[in-house]
Amino acid sequence: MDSALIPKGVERCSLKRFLLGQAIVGAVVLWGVYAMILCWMKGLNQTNMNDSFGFALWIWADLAVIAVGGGAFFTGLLRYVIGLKDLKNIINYAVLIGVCCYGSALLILAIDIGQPLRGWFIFWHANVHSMLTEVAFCLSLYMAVLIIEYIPLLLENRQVDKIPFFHNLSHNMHVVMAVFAATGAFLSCFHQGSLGGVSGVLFGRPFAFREGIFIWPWTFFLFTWSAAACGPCFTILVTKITEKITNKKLVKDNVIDLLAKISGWMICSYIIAKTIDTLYWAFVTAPHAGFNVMDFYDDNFWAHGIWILIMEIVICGYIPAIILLREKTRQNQKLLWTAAILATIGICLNRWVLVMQPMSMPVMTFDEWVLYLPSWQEIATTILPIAGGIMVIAFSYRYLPIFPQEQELNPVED
Amino acid sequence: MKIYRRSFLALGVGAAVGTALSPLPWKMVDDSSIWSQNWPWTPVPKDGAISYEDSVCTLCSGNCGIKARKIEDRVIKVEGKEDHIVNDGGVCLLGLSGPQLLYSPTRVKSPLKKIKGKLRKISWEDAITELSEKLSGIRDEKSDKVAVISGNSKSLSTLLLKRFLKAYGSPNYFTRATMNDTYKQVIKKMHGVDATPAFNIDKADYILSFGSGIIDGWGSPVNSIKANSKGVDNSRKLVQIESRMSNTAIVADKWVPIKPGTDITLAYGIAAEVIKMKEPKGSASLKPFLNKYGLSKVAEVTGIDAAQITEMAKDFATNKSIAICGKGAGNTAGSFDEFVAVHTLNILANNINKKGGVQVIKDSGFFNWSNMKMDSVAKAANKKQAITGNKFPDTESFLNKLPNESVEVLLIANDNPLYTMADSDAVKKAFEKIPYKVSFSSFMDETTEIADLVLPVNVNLEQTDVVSITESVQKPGIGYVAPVSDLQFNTKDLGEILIETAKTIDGMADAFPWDDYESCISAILGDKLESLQEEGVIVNEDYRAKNLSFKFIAPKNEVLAPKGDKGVYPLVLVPYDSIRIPNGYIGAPPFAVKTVSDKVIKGKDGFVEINPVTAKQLGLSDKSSVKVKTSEGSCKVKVNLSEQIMPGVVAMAKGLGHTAYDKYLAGKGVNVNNLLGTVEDPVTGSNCAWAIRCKIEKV
Amino acid sequence: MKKEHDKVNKKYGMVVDLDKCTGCGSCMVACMSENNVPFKEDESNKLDSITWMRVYKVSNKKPYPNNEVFYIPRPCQHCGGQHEGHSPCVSVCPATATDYDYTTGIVSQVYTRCFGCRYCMAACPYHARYFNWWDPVWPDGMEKYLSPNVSPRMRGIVEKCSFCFHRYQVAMEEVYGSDDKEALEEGDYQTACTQACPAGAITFGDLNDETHAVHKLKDDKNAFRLLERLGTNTKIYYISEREWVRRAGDNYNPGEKTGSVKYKTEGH
Repeated sequence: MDSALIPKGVERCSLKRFLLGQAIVGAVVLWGVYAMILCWMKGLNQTNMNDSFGFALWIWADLAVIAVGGGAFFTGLLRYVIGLKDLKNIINYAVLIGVCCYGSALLILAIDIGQPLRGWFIFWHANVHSMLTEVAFCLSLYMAVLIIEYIPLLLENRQVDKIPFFHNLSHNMHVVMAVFAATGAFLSCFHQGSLGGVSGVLFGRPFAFREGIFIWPWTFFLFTWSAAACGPCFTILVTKITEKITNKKLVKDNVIDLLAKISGWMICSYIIAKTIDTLYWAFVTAPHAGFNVMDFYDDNFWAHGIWILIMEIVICGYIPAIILLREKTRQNQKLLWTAAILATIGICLNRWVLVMQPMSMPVMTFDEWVLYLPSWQEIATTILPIAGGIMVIAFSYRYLPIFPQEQELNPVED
Repeated sequence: MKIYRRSFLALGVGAAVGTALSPLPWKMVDDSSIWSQNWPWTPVPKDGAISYEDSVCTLCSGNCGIKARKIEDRVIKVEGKEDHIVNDGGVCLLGLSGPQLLYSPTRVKSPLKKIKGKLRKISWEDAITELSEKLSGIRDEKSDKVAVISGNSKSLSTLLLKRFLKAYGSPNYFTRATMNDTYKQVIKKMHGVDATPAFNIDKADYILSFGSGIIDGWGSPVNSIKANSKGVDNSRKLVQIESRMSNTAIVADKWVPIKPGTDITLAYGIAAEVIKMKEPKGSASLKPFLNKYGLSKVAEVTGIDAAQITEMAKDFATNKSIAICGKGAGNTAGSFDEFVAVHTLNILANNINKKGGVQVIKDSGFFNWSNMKMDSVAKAANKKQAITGNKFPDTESFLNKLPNESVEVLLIANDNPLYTMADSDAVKKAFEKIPYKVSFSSFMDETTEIADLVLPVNVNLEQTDVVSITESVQKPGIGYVAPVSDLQFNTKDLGEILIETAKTIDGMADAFPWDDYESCISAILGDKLESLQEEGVIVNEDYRAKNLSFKFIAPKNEVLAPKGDKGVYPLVLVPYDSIRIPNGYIGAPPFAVKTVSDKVIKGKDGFVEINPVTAKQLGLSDKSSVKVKTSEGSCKVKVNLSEQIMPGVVAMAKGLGHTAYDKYLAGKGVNVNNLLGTVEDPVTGSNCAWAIRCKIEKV
Repeated sequence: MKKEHDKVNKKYGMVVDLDKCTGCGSCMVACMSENNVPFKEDESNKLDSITWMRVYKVSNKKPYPNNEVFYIPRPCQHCGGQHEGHSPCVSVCPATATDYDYTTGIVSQVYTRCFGCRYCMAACPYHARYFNWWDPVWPDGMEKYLSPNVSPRMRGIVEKCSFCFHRYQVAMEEVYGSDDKEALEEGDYQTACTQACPAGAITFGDLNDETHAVHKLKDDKNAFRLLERLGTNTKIYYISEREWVRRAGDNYNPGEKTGSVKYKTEGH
């Protein structure tokens, strides 16, 4: 029925099956929308946040989706600025994933603030010293860049492309895309960094605080680095999942391999830097504030135990780095999957730790550890954009030529 | 078709772009945030002319000077009055909550009468007629079947209530005995004078406190806290002797945990050591008696190290010392024997009527009462004895005797006995037998809920009254309670109600010769009124106490065992006063409740404080649910493990577990009074129970 | 710029004598009453209970009978930061809704500008900042006692102790309106908690003014500040003769002497 909209030369499932799948995910979206409306109408008392946990699940989700969405800017950088031509076969998808991730972050932020109607004050009454102001500016600008990067793809829809105006627009946009990609890469570098700065500048919170250069704490650089390192892994992971679901090979192995190799080097260098940062923090920064680093991990083992640090750095850091660095291992599909998953978990865990642990941890000697469990409304609103992202990806895949190599890899027999 | 579709598309896009470029969306974004800054459901307080009006707080017997900050006719805030002789600017959290009480939705808004089981609004005229007819109807035959329960207040209006009952013809006026009432009797028996005790603790160098909560509401609460601070400045030493670490023990230099009920032994034990070092004139007669308090025996009985006792005795003998008693806030009577023992220490310290010592003050008459004219009914009735006999007319003793007495009419003012008295269930039962109960409460409290007639009085910020501040300032003095707020509801001053009612009862009018309450106050105060109103207080600065002779009294008891069988109830439950939880006639206002620790109330749960050692023996952990059982009742609470209490002793806060009042107070925690029993002191007749035996079971 | 601040600036601060504090709660209620702080049915969850002034009960954690306790009132600490104005919260607020007033040293909160991101709460190690999770609701009739000097806060924003800044404004208005009064005197501007404290444990004034009591008290040998070594440079000083109490004010590594770890801060 919708065959006129489907790109030429590729096969798609029946509309019925597609709509059924969309309906299931759509139900999850509706659940999330209901929770979102509750939060907007009744206020943030719908959450389990409190005065100790002013930053909680949502802020973590923001940091995490932007971190994994880092694949977009980094792949863009490699493709357009550095000029790795091969990556043109995955750049569309990287951009699409980026759009979903950044859209998610903005939506969650709009729910997270106590006065959403005043959200624009962050631009109007901007405090330039605040990392969050930097985040807001760069995030919205980069979102705009991503949309600009995504629009040409949209215009490539068979029906839209028939309109000469859109066809020309699309073509011209492709021409200037390098400029946008460069802008995007810069903006993204900056806000990834600012997001790292968000916790790094908290000199009242010894768990989060890091020294640095000028106004930028080390977390500023580590966040950018880690997003660039692990973002491509997430792009690979999502591509692999898409291939599994569609039961098709969509991107050639050499493309994936190139991205995986670069990611491997990035993770490796990042995790070494992170290790140095952790050691400095543990043996210099923390004692300077009067803490033994183990004070940071000595409460409830499952919530705040030292395992979390080992998990982040060793299991989700060094292991994927080693897998991806060696050609043999990264070309082993199972190990590639493992590395992509571990790297994604690792970066999410890093964001989790930097948001949650500083909030739970007592700083005044007579304070107590605080445990926090999100309410269903928080969980639903966090899943909402993920489900929304799945819908957008499904639509885009069905109607837009996302994967340039799809036709070649999956010849259709007429 | 295609053309149409495209046109619509173009139109739509055009409209969107056009709107986006117009000022409309920006204006809407701006307006919506302005709206969020002025949400109509967030109140905006009205502005207006600001003024301050002075008064004296009557929410407890501390009687601090207060000033109300007003915007037009609204009271915005209560503050302490600077340079006031009682509190010099300081104020407690209950006093500060005055505006919440004034505007509380739990206030009784007009006179009420029980009609068909429900309290319904009536006019003041009808209400006073109702009361007057009820009282007139039984006056000739059984005027002594009318009783009054009144809070322990030293105000003019309370004296009018006493006078009202006397003129009506009943000796049955009861009030809750406090530690001061017990101490007064000690002074009477030991020094032979009728006088009020006051404690000059701010000038003492060494204070031995037998569980007195100097900063937990004891005496005049703010005044006592101020005294403590002066003491800190002067590096005084405060030793707090009690089995649970109160706030006073926290600020004390030394907390001395003592086996519950052994204070008498300790006091004499210290006295025995003191007398070895210092023997004031006239104390020779005490020596042989003290011989039986050998150090090792005292140490064994009290559980306090002998060296510690010697040290206390040495410090006591060599400093300007004072010993004080009256547990917690001192709102309950103490044991006569214990008070005698403590006062004996004061006599040994030779501090009576000395700086830093016990002041024994004879109240100089500020009130000029005309001779009360009584008719034959009143005269006849006043020869009779009160239900409590010749002992102190303690409300608790009255309630204990109530099941065997017939009381026709009960008037209740400034108290909420259904909540404040021990063993509330028994009180409730006894009350059910009384056919007619009149409440003068400002609030719909537990007692008022079951009253047949409610004549609501003004709250402290609306009242006119005169109160004695003698105990607070340690010199004879009075303070003026001025109305700082207009009446919020249809209420009256107690004095006004009494005068109006007395005029309508045959034979009583002569005892209440004043036109109204205002003229009553001017008549009673005479030419002092003007300066009192102007200054707020009158204090007899020149008052000098005389030297007093004394005699020692041997105790009947050496140990005061708490009620209950040790075999069945192995633990001792101590109710404690917290200054953050008012536990008297007035329930804790929302401000006060908000300050209460989450280890005292969590949600609706109350807590029992237990030492971890005891908890371990019972197999209890922190926050586990338990049942606390005593011979009088039981309740469900949670465990609060605390290192600030002796093993074997458990504690619960007073002032919680209201069933009346609003959602900010009702149903939170449990009323520990329900678990308590009474012990009548053989000398004073007042309830001297300070603890009860209990057992704790896992739920 | 900074020099200019230095010349005329006041630096309001507080000195609290912990040996006198009785934990009576008057300061908390005086603050609630003065500042229209709302209350709700259940205030036993201290993690969502707005108490600009909160009194902590702190124990030495030793078992009976060696347990000792002190109370410590904790208003907003009005941090100056390592260079004046670099308070943990002010530096992070994205919308300049909380600001450092160089003329008084007071950290302000603009309720109508705050959009409730709570970054400031994440930044504050003292838990001095509170979020309005709920609409403030007063029971019928009780809104009568609300003071027009402080606007009640709407749901969804952050609030905190302001050192009763409206009282400063009222006092300054009197100075401006008076012919013979040139400056504020010590008693003209006092916070509600200072005034109410029955124990007289709180002293408030201009830390920079040699004639004010706080100026001398802050240099007491037993004076300390909370978490001094983080460089928050607070304006609330505490005094106690007890060493363990002073030690509870900061985190120490083994072997460090109490009070040995003061953070060097510039200026004032």
